[in-house]
Amino acid sequence: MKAVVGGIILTPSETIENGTILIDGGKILSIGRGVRVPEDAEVIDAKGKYVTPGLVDGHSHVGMVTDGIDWEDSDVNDYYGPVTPYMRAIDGINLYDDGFREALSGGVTTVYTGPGSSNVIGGIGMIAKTHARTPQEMVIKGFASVKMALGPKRTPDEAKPKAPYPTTRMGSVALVRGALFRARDYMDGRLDPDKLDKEEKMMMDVLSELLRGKVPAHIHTSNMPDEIFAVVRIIEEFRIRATIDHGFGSELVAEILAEKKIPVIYGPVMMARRSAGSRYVSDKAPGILSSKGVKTSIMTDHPVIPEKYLRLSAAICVRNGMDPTEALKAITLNPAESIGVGERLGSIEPGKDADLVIFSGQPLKIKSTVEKVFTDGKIAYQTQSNTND
Amino acid sequence: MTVSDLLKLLVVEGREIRTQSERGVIKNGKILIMEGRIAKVGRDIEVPGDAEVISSDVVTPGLIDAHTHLGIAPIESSDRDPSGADASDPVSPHLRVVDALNPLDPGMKDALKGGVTTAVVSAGSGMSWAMMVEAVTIMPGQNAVMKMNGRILNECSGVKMALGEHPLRFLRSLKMTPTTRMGIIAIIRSYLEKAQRYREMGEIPETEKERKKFEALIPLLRGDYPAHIHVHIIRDILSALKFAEEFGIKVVLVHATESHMIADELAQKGVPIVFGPIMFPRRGRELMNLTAKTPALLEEKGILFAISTDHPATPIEYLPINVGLAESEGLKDGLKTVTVNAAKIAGVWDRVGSIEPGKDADIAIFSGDPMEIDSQVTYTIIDGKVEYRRE
Repeated sequence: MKAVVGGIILTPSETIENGTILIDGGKILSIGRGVRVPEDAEVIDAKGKYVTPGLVDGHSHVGMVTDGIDWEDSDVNDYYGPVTPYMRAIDGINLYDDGFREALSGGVTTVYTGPGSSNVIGGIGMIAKTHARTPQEMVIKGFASVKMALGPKRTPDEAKPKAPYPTTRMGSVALVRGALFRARDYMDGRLDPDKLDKEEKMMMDVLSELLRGKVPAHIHTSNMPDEIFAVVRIIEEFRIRATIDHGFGSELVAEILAEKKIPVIYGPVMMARRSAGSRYVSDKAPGILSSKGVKTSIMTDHPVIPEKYLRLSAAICVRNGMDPTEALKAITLNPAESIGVGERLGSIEPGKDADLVIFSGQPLKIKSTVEKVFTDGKIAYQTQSNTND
Repeated sequence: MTVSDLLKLLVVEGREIRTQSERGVIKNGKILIMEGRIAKVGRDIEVPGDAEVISSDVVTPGLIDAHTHLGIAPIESSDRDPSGADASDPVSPHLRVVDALNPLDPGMKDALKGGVTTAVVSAGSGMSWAMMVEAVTIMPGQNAVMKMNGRILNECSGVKMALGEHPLRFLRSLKMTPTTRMGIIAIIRSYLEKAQRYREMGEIPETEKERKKFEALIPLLRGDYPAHIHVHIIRDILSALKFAEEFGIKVVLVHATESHMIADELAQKGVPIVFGPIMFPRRGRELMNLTAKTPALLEEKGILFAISTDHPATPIEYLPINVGLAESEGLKDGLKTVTVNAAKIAGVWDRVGSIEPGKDADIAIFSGDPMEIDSQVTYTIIDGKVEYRRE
């Protein structure tokens, strides 16, 4: 048993000063001010430090684009065709990507990672803890979502795809609807499975899980706020669960998203606003979304913003008007809930995984540093100066 | 600036004035501004009756970003616009960014929000994640120094050059040569040699275009301005130092991602560095060793260096945040890197970079520690005029 003692605990919804967290068997046993520490417990002194849940990134490509060899070894976008729901992140991920190790040093203990946005339905995303090096240890969900991406598509000149890519936003939505209609026919027995080729059957099996509500879709919207309405229409037409990923311009329609309870995983912040559509990019958006009641998460989109800067991304949103508690929730509890692991991760509560970060100061200040990171109750990272403690 | 602007007196009172001059930090001091310049700085300054007074917290010189593409690589525009890197000829030292600056670039307003008053505008590149290659050639043109009120401080502050993977990838995408690092260096050397012969022996150039190129390289050979060399990795840094020494030219190493790995050698040679962007994807092998720890090490070795955003690669309004990040990794005097050091490297130290009588009244005012996330820029003043005021 371990006891983290004396810290300012941000659960993140509540602040408990001089609190104690008891950890047993990789899970949080209890938390509070008056928690008695058993005599045989290993005590971790956090006096004057801040303690938060392990940070969660709701949208990244860690392990899909290996740090430092992106151009030479990018495995994030496959130009086989625009609809490839059966391609699985877990079959292409590099568990030894330094991005995972760096994530830990920034306090990020869990990431959603998966296919990129070049395909309309790109494949199956996964959720992984960042400390482990084998699929058995690190994968929380191998089939965590179906990744979709609206907006016009471009293929590199050298690619020879099996099917043409849509060049307009209408085209992308039409492909999504077409695939989901066909999957519904398949589920309802209107398609004879024996007459489908193997590839098409795999496609239907994946999309059926989405239509049954077993997994959510992560729907990438590019730069235009009108794509948000397309997402709303797809969700309502097919009654699927989905998050809006990136969501540039989503703050303009925040009321609608709040009413329909559609979560937004926003970002990355600090964007290079190179494209014409990036006029809707605003680092004020997460603050506006959360103040209007939208469940808001902040993403790094690693490698776009390196994973270790997830905390800094939330701090940038605070600088742009976001409430600090909401900003911390946007990199812990909200993404955990939005990607479907809220029962296990994202907050410091009895029964949840003991994934904790100890910061030298207020976590959303730049000059605070990550001192210790625990995953499943074990120390996973600590700064050099603490090694000899 | 109108005449009435010039005649207005402005006094900035600060709880803490970080002058970045020999006078250090002045507590509860005042700055008297006349005719766009700093007239007096100190604790006991009488405030003239007709002066406008701004009372504030932490006052610093306006920040300077020593490497950007602001006004030349457009934002909120076509994402394939390679402005700043002409694709017709990989060796174009005669092109000048000052001939194509957009005085209404939205980045200028962003800069003011971050307390930035001056930026070096560099030819070439302006990379972002959305772009498949970094658009930069071997010599994309001449850099300028611009204030965020549109005033040009220096039309030609240096010749931009680029070594390594990035120009090679761009040239390959254009089906142009050279295709190796050796090739790039050979071309740079041959142009410098030809320009030298043109200058010293009056050798007639083959074409009028060649003459223009040589004329752009002569001030470089004379030491009037430096070459700003885009480099990331050690092998390219060493190549740059080698041909700089060979031709006796001044160089500024831009990005210099792996500079911390050969800091001793760089310190010994006294080569200035513009480091950044920091919060950036590690695209390709050349960025593999990118770390926010580099500035602390360069400072420790006594190297003259500035921190930059490489705007639009990372937004210029976050220049202080980049500095704060480096401070969290051990950098001690971050403010110096984006004031004194940046001004010296950009060649405008006689005008800006510190709060001293006679210098341009370029001032940034912060609500607290300039490099911490929850401090805000409350005022940005350029040439004595309030260009930004936080609402």
